[in-house]
Amino acid sequence: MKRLYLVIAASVVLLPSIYYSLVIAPIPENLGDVYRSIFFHIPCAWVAVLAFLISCISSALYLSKRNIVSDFIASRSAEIGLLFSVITTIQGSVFAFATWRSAWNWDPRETSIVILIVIYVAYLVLRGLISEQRRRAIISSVYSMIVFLTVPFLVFVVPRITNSLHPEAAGGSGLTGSMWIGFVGMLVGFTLVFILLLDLAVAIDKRNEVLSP
Amino acid sequence: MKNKTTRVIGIILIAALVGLAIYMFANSVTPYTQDFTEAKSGNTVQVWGRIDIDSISGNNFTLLDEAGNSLPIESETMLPPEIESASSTVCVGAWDGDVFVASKILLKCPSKYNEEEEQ
Amino acid sequence: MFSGFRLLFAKEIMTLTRGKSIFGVSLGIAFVLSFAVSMPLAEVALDPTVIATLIWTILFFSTIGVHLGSFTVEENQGTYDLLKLATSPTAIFMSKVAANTILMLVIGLVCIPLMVLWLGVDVVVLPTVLLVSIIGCLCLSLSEGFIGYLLSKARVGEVAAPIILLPVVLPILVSLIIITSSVLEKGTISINLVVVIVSLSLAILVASLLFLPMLEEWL
Repeated sequence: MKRLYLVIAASVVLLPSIYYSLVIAPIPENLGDVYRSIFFHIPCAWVAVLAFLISCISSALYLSKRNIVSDFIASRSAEIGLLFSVITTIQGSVFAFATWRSAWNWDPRETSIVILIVIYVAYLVLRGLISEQRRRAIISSVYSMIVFLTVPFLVFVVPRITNSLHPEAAGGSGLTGSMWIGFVGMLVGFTLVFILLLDLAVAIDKRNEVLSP
Repeated sequence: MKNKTTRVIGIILIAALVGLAIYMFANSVTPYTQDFTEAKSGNTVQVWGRIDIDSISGNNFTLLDEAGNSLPIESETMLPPEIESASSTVCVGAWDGDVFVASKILLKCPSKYNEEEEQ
Repeated sequence: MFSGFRLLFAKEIMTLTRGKSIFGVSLGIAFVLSFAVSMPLAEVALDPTVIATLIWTILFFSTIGVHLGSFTVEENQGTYDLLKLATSPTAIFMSKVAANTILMLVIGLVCIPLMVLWLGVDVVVLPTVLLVSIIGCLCLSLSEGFIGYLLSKARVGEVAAPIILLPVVLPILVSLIIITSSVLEKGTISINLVVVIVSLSLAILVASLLFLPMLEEWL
C-alpha cells in the first residue's frame, strides 16, 4: 500500500514537471530547445550522487550493526546509482556537444562522475564474484570504506586540475524564476522514482532471503 | 576498552592524513592558465578568457583576461556560430610567435542556470 | 605483536623468488611490456607526461601479481591458518607487505631506468627518477597490500584484481605521474605531491590495520 502511494506521488509530481519542462518552461533564446535537457541532466546527476552516498552510509551501518538489510540497501543503491550516472554521462556528453561543441573535455564534473562509475563498477564486480552472502557483505562493506578514503580526493580535488565549463554559481544568475518550478518538480520526482526503485529492489532481496535461507 | 581507543586514534590519524594529502594537492596544482604570458610560452596550453566580440573576423578574434590584457587567437577550424553569445571561452593550442593557434575552441555559455545541486 | 616478523619476512622473500615464482613472472611481464612499448615509440619525441604515464601504468599492471600472490597462495593452500597459530594476523600482513615492497622495488628499479633510457630521456635526470621510483613503489605497494588481503579472503582468484585495485590506487597513480613528468621535464621533485602520496598510502595502511583484526574475527 505504501508503495502505491509512492507511485501516485511520483506520477503526480513527475508527469506535469516533464510536460512543463519540455513544453512550457521559458528558455534562454541563445541556446534553443537543447537547453531543455538541463531539466533531466541535473536531477539525474543528483540521484546518482545520492544513491552512491546512501550506498556508502549503508555499508558503514552494516559494519557497525551487522544487519543484512543494510547490505541489501548498499548494493542495490550502488546499482541504481551506476545506472543513473551512466545515463547522466551519456546524456551530458550529448548536451555538451550541442552547447560547447565538444563531447568530452575532461571537465571536472565529467571526470568526477566517471571516477564514481569506475569505483562502483569495481564494487559491484567484487560483489558479483563472492557467492557466500555473509562474506560478500563484510568484504564489500570494508572495500566500500577503504575506497571512500580516496573519494573526496578523486572527486573533488584531482579533477580541478582543469577548468570547468559548467556554469558556476558565482556570478551566474541561476535559474530564472519560473524555470525553478519545473526544475524543483523534476528533482523531487526523480528522487521519488529513486526511492521507489530502491524499495522494490530491496524487497526482492528480502524475499529471496526468506525463500533461500 | 583498549580496542576502542585504538580505533578512535586510527580514525583521527586517517582523517588527518587524508586532509594533509588534499591540502597539499590543492596547493601544488595551478588550476588553470589565465595568464597570457604563460600562454605565449609555446607549449600547448588551455587558456581561458573573455571574447572581445567586436574583434571577431573570419577565424580570428581577440581574447581578454581579467586585467584587460589581450591575446590574438587564430582558430584552425571554423568558429562556432554561437561564439557571439558566449560569455567566455577556453582555447586549446599553442603560441606560434605572433598569434595563438587554437586547435579547439570551447564556449562557455551564459550562466543562466545553477548546477550546485549536482554535488 | 610483531613477533616473528623477521622470520616471516625472510620466508616471504624465499617463497616469492623461488623458481616458477610470481616475482619472476611479474619482472618478466614488466620487462617485456617496457620493451614492447618503447620499441615502436623509439623514433617519436614523447611528451614527459606520456612517458610518466607509460612507466607507471606498466609498473602497476605488471606487479599486481606480486601484491596478490603472496596472500592468495597462502589462503588457497590453507597454510594461512597454520601461520596464524604462530603469530598475529597483523604481523603476517606486515611481513607480506614488506616483502612485496622489496620485490616491487626491484622490478621498478630494473624497468624504470630501462624505459627512461629507451624512450630517449636525458640521463642527467636518472638519479631523481630513481628516487621517485623508490618512493612510488613504496606507496603503491603499501596501498595495494590490503586489497590483496581482502581479495584472498574473498577467495575469488586474481581475474578481477586490476578493476578492484584501481579505484584505491588511482589518486596515488595520478600524483605519481604528475611528479614523474615534472622530474623528466624540469628535473625537480614536487615535495607537496610526495607528501600527498606518502600520506594517502599511510592513511590506507592505517585503515588496513584497523580493519584487519575485525575481518579476522568476522570471517
